[in-house]
Amino acid sequence: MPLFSLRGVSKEFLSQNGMPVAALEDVNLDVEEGEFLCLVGRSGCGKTTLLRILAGLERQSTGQAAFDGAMIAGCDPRRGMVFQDARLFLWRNVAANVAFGLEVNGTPKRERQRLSEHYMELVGLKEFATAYPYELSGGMRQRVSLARVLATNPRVILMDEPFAALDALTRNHLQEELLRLVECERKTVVFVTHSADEAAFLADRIAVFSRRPRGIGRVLDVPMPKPRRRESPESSALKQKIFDLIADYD
Amino acid sequence: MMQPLVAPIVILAAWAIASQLELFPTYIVPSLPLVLGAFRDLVQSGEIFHHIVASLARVGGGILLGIVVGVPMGFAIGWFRGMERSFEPMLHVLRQIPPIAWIPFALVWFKGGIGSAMFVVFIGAFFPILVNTMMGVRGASQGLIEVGYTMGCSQRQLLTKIVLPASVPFVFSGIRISMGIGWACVVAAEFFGYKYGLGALISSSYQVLRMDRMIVGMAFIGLVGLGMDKLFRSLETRVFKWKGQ
Repeated sequence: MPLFSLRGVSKEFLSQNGMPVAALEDVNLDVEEGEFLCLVGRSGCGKTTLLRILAGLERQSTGQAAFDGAMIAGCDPRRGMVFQDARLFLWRNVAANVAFGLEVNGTPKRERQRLSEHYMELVGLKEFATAYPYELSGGMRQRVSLARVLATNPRVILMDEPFAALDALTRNHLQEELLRLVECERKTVVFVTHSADEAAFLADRIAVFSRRPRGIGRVLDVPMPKPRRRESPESSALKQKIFDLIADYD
Repeated sequence: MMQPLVAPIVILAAWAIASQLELFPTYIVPSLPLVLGAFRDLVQSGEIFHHIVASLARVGGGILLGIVVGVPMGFAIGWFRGMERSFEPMLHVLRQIPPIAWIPFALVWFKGGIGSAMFVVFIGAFFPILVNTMMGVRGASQGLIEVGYTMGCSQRQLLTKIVLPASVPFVFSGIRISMGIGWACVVAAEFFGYKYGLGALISSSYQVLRMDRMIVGMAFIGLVGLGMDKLFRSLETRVFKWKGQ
């Protein structure tokens, strides 16, 4: 049984003048446990809306969205989310940010400290345990955000363009680290990006979004083994294919 | 380093010269030596400290009351939609009324005791504290609340772990604004029937045309007000060290 199962999912928003606007039309998708799925497309094509429906932050207008065999109704800590802006709690230091979800679910203090330290170490921020977010670079903040989600041990991590605001070097580095972390923690990941490069480097499968209708146009399997080289003939071909698909949809 | 002193020195020098030349009668602009004399008398006799302490006590009481009422109300109105709809429009009308317009009622209701001046300060302090707290609760960015939801926060946890801490800086700046307004309010309130207080010093000096004593009172209003503001700001930087500089 797939971890996520979407059937005929659509989402409409009301525009300023009260007219309904389709943000997502008739999406059918299964996400298997353990896979790394990228949602790729231009901005405004509904990728983030779909991710927010998976998280439980939005509710679809029609259709069915199920997680682990049950309909999605609201958020669930088993589905962790990493946002584009790291959204750290500015009044908490790194250790306390990482421990946030553990406080929420009532983990005892000792255990909380142990886990918080473990995940800070995993993302390479152990020396910054007592630093506040304003003291960190953008890349470090996003690592804290990732550690905060990992610490609660979710089954899926939903990521909304988490590296889009970072410089290229930091982005590449964090992509590599993400793969390493997901590998050793055996997580399922649904990752939104507008970058074909990023998708070609990370994904086991890529859902390419179209604008008309707004939704998933085509799903590509990526059989290349990981870790991948960024500039191999296969990955270039894959990127070209993604570009072509996106261009076709315009 | 010395730059802040340039303007006051120039003004004092001009004043000293004008005094020397006796350009104005003393009830229009009292001479500098006269004012310095009044300053020495008020400080040496300790009278000025009675005035300062009286004013500070009324301001302190009024602001404390403003915090006790304004902060919980601000949270309630900021957090609950129903409260917002029932109270907010009225509050935005009420806050347009200058606290000084409440002085007559303050006198009648509290019989001119410490309560009257405190009430006027309270009115002045209440609205900035209330409005800032409301803004803080609403501004506790939707983004952080979404983080809370995805981590499985209950409503109570959202409030105590996210909205409350995120709004504390707003509450503090509301209190700082209210201190400035409260200080102005107390001086105005003390014009009416008080023996002690910096406002009382000014109004009683005015009645006997002792403009020299008035100026000393005014100078202390400025200095004590500045001192309160500085003190509070240093408290803020200590509490909010997570904000950086």
